[in-house]
Amino acid sequence: MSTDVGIWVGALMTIAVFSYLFSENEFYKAVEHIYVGAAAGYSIVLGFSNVVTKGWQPLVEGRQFQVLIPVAMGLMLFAPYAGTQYNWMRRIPISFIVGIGAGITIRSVVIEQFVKQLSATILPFNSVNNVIIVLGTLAVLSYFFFTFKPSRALKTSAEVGKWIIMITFGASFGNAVMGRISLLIGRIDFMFREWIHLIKL
Amino acid sequence: MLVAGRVAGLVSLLTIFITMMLGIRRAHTSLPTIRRIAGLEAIEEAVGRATEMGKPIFCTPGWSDITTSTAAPTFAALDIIYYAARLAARYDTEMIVAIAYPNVYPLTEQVVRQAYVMEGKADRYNPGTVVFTSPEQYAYTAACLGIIQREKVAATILVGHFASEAINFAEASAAVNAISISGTESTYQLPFFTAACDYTMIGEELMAAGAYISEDPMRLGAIRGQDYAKLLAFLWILTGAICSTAGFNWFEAILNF
Repeated sequence: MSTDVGIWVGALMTIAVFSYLFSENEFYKAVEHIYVGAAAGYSIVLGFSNVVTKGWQPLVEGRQFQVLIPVAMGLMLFAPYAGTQYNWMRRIPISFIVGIGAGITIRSVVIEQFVKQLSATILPFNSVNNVIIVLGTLAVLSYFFFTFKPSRALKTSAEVGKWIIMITFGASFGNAVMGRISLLIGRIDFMFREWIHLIKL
Repeated sequence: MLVAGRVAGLVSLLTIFITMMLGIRRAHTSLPTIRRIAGLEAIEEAVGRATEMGKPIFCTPGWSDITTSTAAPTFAALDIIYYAARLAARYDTEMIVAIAYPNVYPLTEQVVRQAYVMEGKADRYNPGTVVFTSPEQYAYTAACLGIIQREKVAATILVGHFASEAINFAEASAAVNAISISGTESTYQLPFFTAACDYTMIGEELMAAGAYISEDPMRLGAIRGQDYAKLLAFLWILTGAICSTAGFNWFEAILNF
């Protein structure tokens, strides 16, 4: 068996997590709390480090007063804790964060998820594959029409689209299960090879 | 000036913008009717079941922040949580909302508190309803699984953006015999939700459900506008494929401009 403390901790925690398969128990609960606590601790350290390196140091040591803007916006997120009358103050930094996020991502989303998808679907009807891709995409697209009057043609197309979605999900599910099994194999390999040395190195 | 390969993206963006503006403008005179979304209708049933059983409802707006491309499903999820919170407040049913990202926490807290205020039960709002877990994916997962198991929740509402933790939540819901309602835009996780949950809102159904609940003409109009954009895409693909079969590749070429 391994004499490495780290491997022992990892192996025992793995067993504790797998024990959830039977039911929730004290071992799982302990690991859950250690994990959540460690992650919270790490986040606090990271957050504090960000405040020091990106706020305090540039402001106090570097005299970069423009840093006051993000610092003030950060503090505004906590304003409601001073009283419900300050709720409105929280909306300004949140709007800023959402606006920046949307602005940055919109270009790549439109090109990658819309234009390239359209381009990849425009295929000549010269093979069974192409016919399935084009008509399947159109049927699935019709499933996501929400406000149009449901005519017979639209209903039929949406129904076909729903079936295509389910077939795709089935294939995707199988693929993901294979991925998960490889993760399980990795974990079992760790237990038997590195912990109890049942599989020889 | 114009970058090759991006012009089509710009034109598409402007087209979507115009169709959405048209949809919003039309919504001010006539509100669009959104088709039935089974997952949304099941929320009342889920809250009713939790009320009868005297057990809590578990909700989470997913493992996502509001600063990335997953902001849209997160906001839609908050609308759905608002709707569930109003029902929970109305029937005096306990609710637990687990949050992963710090930016989402104040928004969720405000949304749930507002739901209690709207039901005239501000005094019944428990500040412990919204629980912050961790932005670390599997710490968030472990915390949610623990809550579902310990509290023996009667219903789980899993809406928003999810990654590989999706199946864990769905399985945990099944393990405690909870009615599970899910919704995500993540195509990788939808198969799991569809297989393991009682109701699933697929992709854009989640956004439409959010708009439907909000009853906001602007958002409902935006859904109609998106339908116009989808119709244009539908016609573009169909016409493009027919032309391509005839040997003309104009439609594809334009998209590569």
